[in-house]
Amino acid sequence: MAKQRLQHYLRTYRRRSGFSQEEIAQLLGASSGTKVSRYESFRRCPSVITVFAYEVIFNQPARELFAGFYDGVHQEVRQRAERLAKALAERDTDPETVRKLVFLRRIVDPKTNQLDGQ
Amino acid sequence: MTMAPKTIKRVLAIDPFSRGVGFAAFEGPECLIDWGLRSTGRADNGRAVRAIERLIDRFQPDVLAMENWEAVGSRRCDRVDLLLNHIASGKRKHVRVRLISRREVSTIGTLPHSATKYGRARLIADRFPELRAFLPPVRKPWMSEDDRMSIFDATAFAIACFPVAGDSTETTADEPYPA
Repeated sequence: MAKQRLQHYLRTYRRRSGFSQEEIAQLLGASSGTKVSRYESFRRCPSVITVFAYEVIFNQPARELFAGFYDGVHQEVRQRAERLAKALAERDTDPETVRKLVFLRRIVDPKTNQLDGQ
Repeated sequence: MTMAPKTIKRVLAIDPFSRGVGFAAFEGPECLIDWGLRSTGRADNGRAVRAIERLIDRFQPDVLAMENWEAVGSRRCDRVDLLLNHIASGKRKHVRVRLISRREVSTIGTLPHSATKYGRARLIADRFPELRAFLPPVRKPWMSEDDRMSIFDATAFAIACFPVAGDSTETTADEPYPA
């Protein structure tokens, strides 16, 4: 069943740090801990501003805090990039398209990105 | 501390007590992701089952660890025996049940040996400082067991599911034995 990471680890990080939901709400600029409780129980999705606030509070990158979300989005974008690359390759092969294909290849296969960076 | 890699083994361990259920969830032997008590108000197996099912839904574990109520050394009451039996025999896709005896807790896994339950709880609290706040006071002969001890029991069951590094004879979390 697991195989995938949880959508987020907000509760884990909060409890490790010892803060209460009310205290985190105060740091997030929310009026009460209810919102934090809803985030932690997967009943509400935090806004971009809240995501960055969490990143600042726990000093962890958003992709680690929201690991499951990140994995899902990552996979979907890769699939879309694959489809777009296929469509572009069928259309034409002018230099602009080739540039785009190289870019898309980096999304589809991150290893290519690492090799290019070395 | 970062979370487990993308492909993970998640272990949810439960330990029922008189008025609820203690639980601990791990992603690897050093990655405690959640812990706590779910109160049922009174000794009620129906409520306890619902609480445990909610935990399973939330954590979607690969392995559900709990005490082997039939093993030597287990001294659970009939109600808890029934509850554990019910949970262990439930048909759940992709969730393996691993039963751990009290004896196993002190001999397998990555937990150092301790003669007493409180000693083991203290070792667990040393290893996971976030649990220190839940460590109950030393139990006196006239005191009943603190509910919070269930968290440490559940944690011990979960840790016992992970192999000791370099020990190939241990059962790994990849191959937990079914009920």
